[in-house]
Amino acid sequence: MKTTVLQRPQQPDKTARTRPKVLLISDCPKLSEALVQILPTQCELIVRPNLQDARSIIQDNPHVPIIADFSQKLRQSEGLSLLLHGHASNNTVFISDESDEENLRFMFEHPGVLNLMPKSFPDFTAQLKIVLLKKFGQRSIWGTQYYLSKKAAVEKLRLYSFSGHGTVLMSLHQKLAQVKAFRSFNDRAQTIAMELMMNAVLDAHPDTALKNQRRAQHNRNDAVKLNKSEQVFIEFGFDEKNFVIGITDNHGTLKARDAMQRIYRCTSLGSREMRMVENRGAGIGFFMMYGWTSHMIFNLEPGVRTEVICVMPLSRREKYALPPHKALNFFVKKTA
Amino acid sequence: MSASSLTIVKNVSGGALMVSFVGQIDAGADYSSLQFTGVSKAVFNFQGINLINSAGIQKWVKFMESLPDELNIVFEVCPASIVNQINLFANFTGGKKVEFTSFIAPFFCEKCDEENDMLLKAKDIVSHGDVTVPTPPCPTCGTTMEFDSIEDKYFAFLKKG
Repeated sequence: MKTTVLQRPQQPDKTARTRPKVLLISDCPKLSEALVQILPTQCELIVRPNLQDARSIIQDNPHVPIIADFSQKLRQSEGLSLLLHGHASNNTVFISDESDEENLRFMFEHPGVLNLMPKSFPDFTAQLKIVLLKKFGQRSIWGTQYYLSKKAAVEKLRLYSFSGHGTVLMSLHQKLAQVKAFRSFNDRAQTIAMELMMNAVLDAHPDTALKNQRRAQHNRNDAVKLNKSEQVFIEFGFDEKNFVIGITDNHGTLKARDAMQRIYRCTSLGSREMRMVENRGAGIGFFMMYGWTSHMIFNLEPGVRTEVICVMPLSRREKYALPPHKALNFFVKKTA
Repeated sequence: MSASSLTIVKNVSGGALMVSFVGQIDAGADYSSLQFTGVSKAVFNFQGINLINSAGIQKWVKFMESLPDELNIVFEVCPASIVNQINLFANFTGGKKVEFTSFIAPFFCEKCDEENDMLLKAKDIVSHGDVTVPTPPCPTCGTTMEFDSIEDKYFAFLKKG
């Protein structure tokens, strides 16, 4: 008797089908090795040495996160802008060791590229890991804790009125008295805190019906009383490497594109256009902060809250304080 | 924020208005007390400035832009905070030609592990547009000190004057 064996149709491997892909465009073996260690085990890392080889993957998978080593050669690849424009490129993590001005220009010209991590950055692998974990939703985007060692004591304060910011600056001054850094470090940290508090207060829409920012109604030296719902959250602390300041508002009016434009405009134009623009800041404050920090992080939840974190490396010598290239990250949380 | 803590001290000497700024250049800075009628030169001394913020820079630029074009403007004893802003912001001088006569520069003594701010005169270090960075002795131990900032960036303003 002839028996026909019916083969059970092969079930597709569910794990394989849903395994998230991450595309690395780089010819640097060290980077791919580092990424294998960094990425969660369920991720599939696809490595392509150049844009030409990566093109079809990007076109076929418009949402695949891209980690790209944008060296000069890759930047000059034909069709890069078009490809990134069509791609959900806010998934792109941009790795580079070009000059800060070149990097800012690249980010400005490719609006979806919101994360820059230079290869030469101190603790590059650990910092890239933080970017990826935050970017791919494995960690909350909020807080200064990712940028300080676990032992660091972080001061957490709230600001209820802008005339009361002197109390915050006093606490900051006490914290700064504990660090050993070059002479103007303290002034810079105080200025950064003051600039961030000013933005947190003045960028708010106290009258949502008018959609008019407080900046349009107040001078910057006005005493402003904040409603309970408008209170500003301040964090600062230090470890053996960095002093970190993070300030969170309660309205979320800052847009990644605006912040990027303000920093880039001052960098590229040397401030020739540094004027108040449509009652918003001219970008001078962000530009000053960018100049004094090694790493700026913008955590944004549109319409809900904005957190800006500034990382200032601690050094006795001003000359050696900043790394050769800065990191800049924007994390945008979509409100459910 | 509280009102500005910028104090302006002025006097006229030999056709020049000598102005000393003391405190913070911020949003509340008020330059309306400065009048330039009848003077051909203005000398701004920044020795007493301890902080300048973004709102202060905007007000300062507007003030500089309002100065008469024919006025000879001199900046003297500029602390590092002012030097940094002049270098960062191309129109810190409001598009006016400014002569920078003296400024503070940070130096470091490795032996003492100590920073020392030194007052430098532009005429002593600039020749035909080239800057020669000095190596002054440490006031404590006499050891030659090293300039403690990025030379190309810090001295860039001397080429703008």
